[in-house]
Amino acid sequence: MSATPTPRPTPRPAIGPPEAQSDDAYERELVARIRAGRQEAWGELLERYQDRLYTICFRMVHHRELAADLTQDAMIKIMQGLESYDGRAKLSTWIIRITMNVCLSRLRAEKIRRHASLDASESRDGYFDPGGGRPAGRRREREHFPGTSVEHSDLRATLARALECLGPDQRAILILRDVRGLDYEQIAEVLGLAGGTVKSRLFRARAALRDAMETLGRSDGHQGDERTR
Amino acid sequence: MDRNPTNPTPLDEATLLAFIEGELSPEDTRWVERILAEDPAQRARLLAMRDDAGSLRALGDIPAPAGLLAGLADAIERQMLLGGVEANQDRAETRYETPTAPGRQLDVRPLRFQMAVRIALAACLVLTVGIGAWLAGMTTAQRRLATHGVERRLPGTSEPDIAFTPSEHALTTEDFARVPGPAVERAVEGDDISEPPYVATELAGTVSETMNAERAAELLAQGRLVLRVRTGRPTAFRDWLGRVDRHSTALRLAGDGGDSLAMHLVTTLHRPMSPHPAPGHFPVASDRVHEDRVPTPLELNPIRFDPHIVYVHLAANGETLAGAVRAMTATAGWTVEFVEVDAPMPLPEVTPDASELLWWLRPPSEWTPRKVLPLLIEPAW
Repeated sequence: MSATPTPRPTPRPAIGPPEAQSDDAYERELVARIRAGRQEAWGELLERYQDRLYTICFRMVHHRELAADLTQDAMIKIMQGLESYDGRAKLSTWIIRITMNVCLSRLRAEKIRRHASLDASESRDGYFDPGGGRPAGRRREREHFPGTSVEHSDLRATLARALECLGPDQRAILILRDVRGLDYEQIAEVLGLAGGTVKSRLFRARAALRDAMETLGRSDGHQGDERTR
Repeated sequence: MDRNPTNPTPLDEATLLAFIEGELSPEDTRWVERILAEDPAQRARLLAMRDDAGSLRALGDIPAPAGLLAGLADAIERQMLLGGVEANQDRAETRYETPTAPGRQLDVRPLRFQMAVRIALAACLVLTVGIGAWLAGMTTAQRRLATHGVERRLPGTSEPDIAFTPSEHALTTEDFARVPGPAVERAVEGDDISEPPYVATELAGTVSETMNAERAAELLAQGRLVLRVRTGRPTAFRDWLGRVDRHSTALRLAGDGGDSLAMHLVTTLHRPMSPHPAPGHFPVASDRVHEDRVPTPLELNPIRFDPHIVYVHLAANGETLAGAVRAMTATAGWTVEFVEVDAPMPLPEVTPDASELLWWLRPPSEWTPRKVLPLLIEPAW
């Protein structure tokens, strides 16, 4: 069997994730100010994180309103728990862990509810959801990617849909790694896993995402064939 | 890593993952590529997985919806309604010594509470409502009480004698029906009667009020309003105050100027948020009600105020004040009346406290004003 030239894997960009670029010292100062009773620092902190947290929530639930609710829930928990933040983990890791836990709790609860009562409307809208992670009764939202070509936009839309098809845990690990750019150690901290487990789960999540992409691609192609017929 | 081409080691997940992530050395990358080349389908799949990762990375952040932070205060209220915001209050545990018999409720207070009922004869609480900076500098003058309320019978003793007649802007029962209030149900044996619904169970209150709500608000602004509560169960009332954070948030009302909280105790909320109490106050733990102590005891002829205060958010307008009164009577069933004091009382200044959870996220111009409202608790038996 002849060796086919393979594109060289592109090393991960040298720039770190958004969190890594954040000014840790500034965030430590924010925490200190909050603890000193200067509550306006809360506003700074939450404003600084709101897009990141909302993105995590949206990627997890793929529903704008629910994502906003979950983001707010996470913020409340952050506000309630900051006193207990001991500084061992980076603040961003701690905040993301809370947010991810809020999302996972919600998705697991939805899954339990959905299993408890078979939701006929789910099958009616024909939405593909092998992971069972989509909140019951919620309409999938189309995501728009301004400034990208149609092809890229379609690819990303398919990717976002594929992500939605995964189970919550697999979705979480991909979001943490690829969307948020956390390193293995941080992911382990956020999800409460051992480092080795993170790696194996990440690999399986990637494989599951690829499966979902292929399934969606076939499904879209089939629908396209039907339309052209 | 075994790179013997005649006996290649099967690729493990870690290596494949490192390949996808671009973390292998060039030499190892070439070795993996050679193995994958033997299975083009597998190779294509792994490369696609790597591209997926890159594409996910490129999805980028989604801007949070406008107003997400501004709506956080509402979310907090909502969670409180659902019991989701747990106050880190240092609640003393209350143990009831006898089980509750079916159909019989709440008469199983520990001895210390029975004693407290007696002690409460002269006790009053001071509710703090509103910003109250304008209260600074008010001098003590004559403090004669002029009752503007009317006597009402204790719940359950007779038919309600006076009906609450709301003004155009005042609350109606529909206002309370719109928001989830505490369920009122009878305790049965084995129930934990320390839970709020049971605290209010036994008393089905009547609501009456003769003082015009706007007048009450005006007096409140002047520091000349006292709320008198008559109850056969002063301890239960204190108990209710200690739990009122959930009750009161059920009184969130829609008004012309937007939503406002009719009444909201923050005793359970501001401490976790700020280790620094408002100037002039220091926290004192009590059995069930966490209160702050005012350094200067208040005297209101002929009753000496027990210098406890609890903080209550109360919008300055009359209807929300009426809402608080109505909450005490309709929800908890106590007899409440407005009492007008001739001269402003030397009530403690309550500066805007940004540490209070509900309001700091909003600009100061939107903070609900707080005023100080003394609350007399008089046993009625």
